[in-house]
Amino acid sequence: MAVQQEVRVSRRGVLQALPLGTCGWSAMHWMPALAAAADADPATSKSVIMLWLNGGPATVDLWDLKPGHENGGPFKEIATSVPGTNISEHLPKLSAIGSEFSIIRSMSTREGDHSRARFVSATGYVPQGAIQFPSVGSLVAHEFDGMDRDIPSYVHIGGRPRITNGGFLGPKYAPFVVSGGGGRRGPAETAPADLRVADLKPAGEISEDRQRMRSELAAELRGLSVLPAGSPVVEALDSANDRARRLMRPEAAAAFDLSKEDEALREAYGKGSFGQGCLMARRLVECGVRFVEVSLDGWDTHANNFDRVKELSQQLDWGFGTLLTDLKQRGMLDSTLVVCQGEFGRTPRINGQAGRDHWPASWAAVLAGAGVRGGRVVGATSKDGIAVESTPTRTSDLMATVFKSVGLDPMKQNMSNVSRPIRLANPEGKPIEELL
Amino acid sequence: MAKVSHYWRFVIFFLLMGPRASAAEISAQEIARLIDERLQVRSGGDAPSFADDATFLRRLSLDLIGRIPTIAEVHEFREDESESMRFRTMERLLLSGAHFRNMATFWRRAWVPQADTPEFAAVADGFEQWLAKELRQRTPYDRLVAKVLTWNSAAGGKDPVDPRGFYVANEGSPPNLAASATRAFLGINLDCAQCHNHPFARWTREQFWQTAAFFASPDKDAAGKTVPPKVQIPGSEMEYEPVLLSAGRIEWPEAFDPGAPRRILADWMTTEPNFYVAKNAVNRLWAHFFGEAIVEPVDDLSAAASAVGEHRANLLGELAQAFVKSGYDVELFIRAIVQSDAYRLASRDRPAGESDDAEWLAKSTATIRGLTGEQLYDSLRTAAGLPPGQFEGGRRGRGGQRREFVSIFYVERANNAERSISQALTLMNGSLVGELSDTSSNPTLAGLLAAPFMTLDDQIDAVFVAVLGRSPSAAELQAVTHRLEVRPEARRQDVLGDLFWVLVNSPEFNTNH
Repeated sequence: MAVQQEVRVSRRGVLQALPLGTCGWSAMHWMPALAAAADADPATSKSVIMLWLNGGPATVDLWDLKPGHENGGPFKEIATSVPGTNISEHLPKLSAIGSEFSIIRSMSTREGDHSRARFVSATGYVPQGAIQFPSVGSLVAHEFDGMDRDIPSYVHIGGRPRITNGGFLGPKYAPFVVSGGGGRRGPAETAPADLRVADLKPAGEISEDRQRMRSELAAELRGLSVLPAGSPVVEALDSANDRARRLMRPEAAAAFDLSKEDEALREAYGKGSFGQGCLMARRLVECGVRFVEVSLDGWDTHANNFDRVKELSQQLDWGFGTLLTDLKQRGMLDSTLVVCQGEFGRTPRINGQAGRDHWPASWAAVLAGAGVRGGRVVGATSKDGIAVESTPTRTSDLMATVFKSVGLDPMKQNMSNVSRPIRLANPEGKPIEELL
Repeated sequence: MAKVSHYWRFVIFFLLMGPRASAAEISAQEIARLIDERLQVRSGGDAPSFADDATFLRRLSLDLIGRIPTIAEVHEFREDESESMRFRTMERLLLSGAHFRNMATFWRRAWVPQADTPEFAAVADGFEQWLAKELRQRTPYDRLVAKVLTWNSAAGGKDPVDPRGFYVANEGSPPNLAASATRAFLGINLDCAQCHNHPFARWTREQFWQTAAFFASPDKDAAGKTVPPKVQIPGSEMEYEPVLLSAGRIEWPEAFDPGAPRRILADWMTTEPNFYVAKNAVNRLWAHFFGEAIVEPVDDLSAAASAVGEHRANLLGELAQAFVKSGYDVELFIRAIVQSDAYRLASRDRPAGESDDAEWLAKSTATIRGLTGEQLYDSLRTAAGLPPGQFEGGRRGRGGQRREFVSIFYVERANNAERSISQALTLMNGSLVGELSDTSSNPTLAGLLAAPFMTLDDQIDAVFVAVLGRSPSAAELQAVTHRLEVRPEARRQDVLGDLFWVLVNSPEFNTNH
């Protein structure tokens, strides 16, 4: 620990000697410590990576199997590196590093409809009239405000974010979306998924010369503008234009460029859009991005659950497993919280189409890194998986745990659009103490 | 030629509007005067500072037809400085098809905001086309609300040009429909009451479910007689029958069809003594033309009196009464707003503190607003000399491109529109602006290049007029020509393309001011 501290201080010196736009240097492996040193207060320099399993994963086939019971299905358990803790046989990479993460097997929530459950899981609150609740990503980005950076502090990779705007925090804290990768692709694809930031370069062939001339003329005419000063709408436009220009600089754009990564590592993450997204998440966190959400779609398995979950498990295992190992090797796991969840679980009972339906009453989520203790199992479900038997955990409790583990006070308030202060986490929530 | 067509438009207008206009007990001028008096536009020592002609025309066009004026429209307006030109232009815009489509989008967004999410995007077109048709026929607003509330799904054919989108977007569920109907048509927010009594105790949970019951199907009792519908709170034993929010007694007929409960609700809404339907319409229209609504938030009018102060609550009440007096005539009310002096004020910024009530009202007009996705798309095309893309059918045609663009540039409320980095990148580097900045797909630029006898200064002037609706200042003109002098090798078409690109990315183009 002491050694690490020393290293940090010396690297702060290095940083000062560097030009701005340090993300261009992220390929160098001393980047994480450098990014940490760049913050005024190292205590607040934490990040969150949310692995979002969209559609509601059958956690009874991932983290909390019921072998021997008719609800269990065909999957077998395998032991993890933590004695007594077993997970699905289709998660071998993760099972080997069981001491790095903890499983909450007693998630118990109320919303069984996709859009409502996504809203609640993203914001921590049920929809309440006109209040525009921001998502946890916007809240974390806002609390660790890094708006002077070249890269947006909340990035969403793959599909559409649950909350597309910044809620009452404004579009400044809206998720910056990286898309592409061509939907669901397994990790064994030959070419890696092509994740990209849309419109980072001009459409058509515009020479750098012309681009520069455009920017210069834009700046000059902006200076001559007759628009009254001080309008919040105009300020927002100016700020977005300015930040877009900064992001277009090659040094900043490089944060999203996975071709700079080692080929073997890219393969280890899985070549599908989820695996490559996990790798991009690590790269972005290195550059000081505070919240990265990587979405894996396809978990709404009303039919043919087992074939589909098996295939998805492989993507999850490669992406999540390699991410934890990679973060740890780079010394980033202590400052990065990884959360893996969906909007709810699925019925323990198997339906007539070998599928499982929506089930919010008992499901599992996984946490790793930052302040969270690894190798634990919180709570338990009944033999049939239908009921939570100990430590029932609500979304608000999970949220409070997430905030607290990255050093934020869940009870902190922000003013909402209806002039009512709203706490980071729904105040009914209690952090899960045994994980902190 | 242009004058003649205006004349005929006038004739047609009075032929169409004559009988209705005389039936109304109040004129647009009277309402305009009321607005100016209450906002004290001409009181105080200073003469009001009005927006210049170019700014006014641009504002009027964006608000009424959802796009900036064309070069020809700017020139026509500029050449005739008479007061009557303003009124002629208003009438021309108000009678155009684009105006009704623009207002159809406005009401659809207020009533069926779900259609702005990908999940329900498909219902937007049919609903808006239906609304545009009704608005063009000048269906009174209260009738319009009733038509949505009492829509009979059995009568709906394959052609989705009807109000079905309201039901689809609410998934046909009574609680969703109740929350949406009260918010959309009354400006009353019942959402909280779905789960618990409203925190400020205005509405109870019981009232919420009683309202929801209007949207359920009537039951039959043991004897086979139809009885009022009931809804049950999920996961509970509690069951409710329809009761009006004002607690008035419902006279159920002996026998009734499935639409009867909703007709009773619609009748009550459009006749209840607090005029919530009229207040809600006026408040939202006000926000469309002035930026901020008289009472904010727009879906919580029941808080009005206590939350916003007397002056604003009174103004809303007076305008709502005027609207009722006009026979719920939306077009008359819009005419009143655009011919008021308040609407002509030069844009300025909101004062830092919401000080005095009256002062707030006077200062809240003519704020700088962002553009909606629709306004931005149609204005980009107009600037490039292309027809705007409203209702251009086909998922693969331009309709699809517009829809996609609009969903990227969605703004909930123009008065506090913000812009994300992704949106900024799309406008700088996206394919649409890329294409339009190229003379080969920009008829405005192509025309300028092909025009004989045009000097570079003339061409620059024309690009400013096309994009910003005004000529450049001397300093702006000099800045542009100076840039060119240092690039003598640049091709003229690239120069104009670059200028177009610069101007469409400017805050001036991207706001309504």
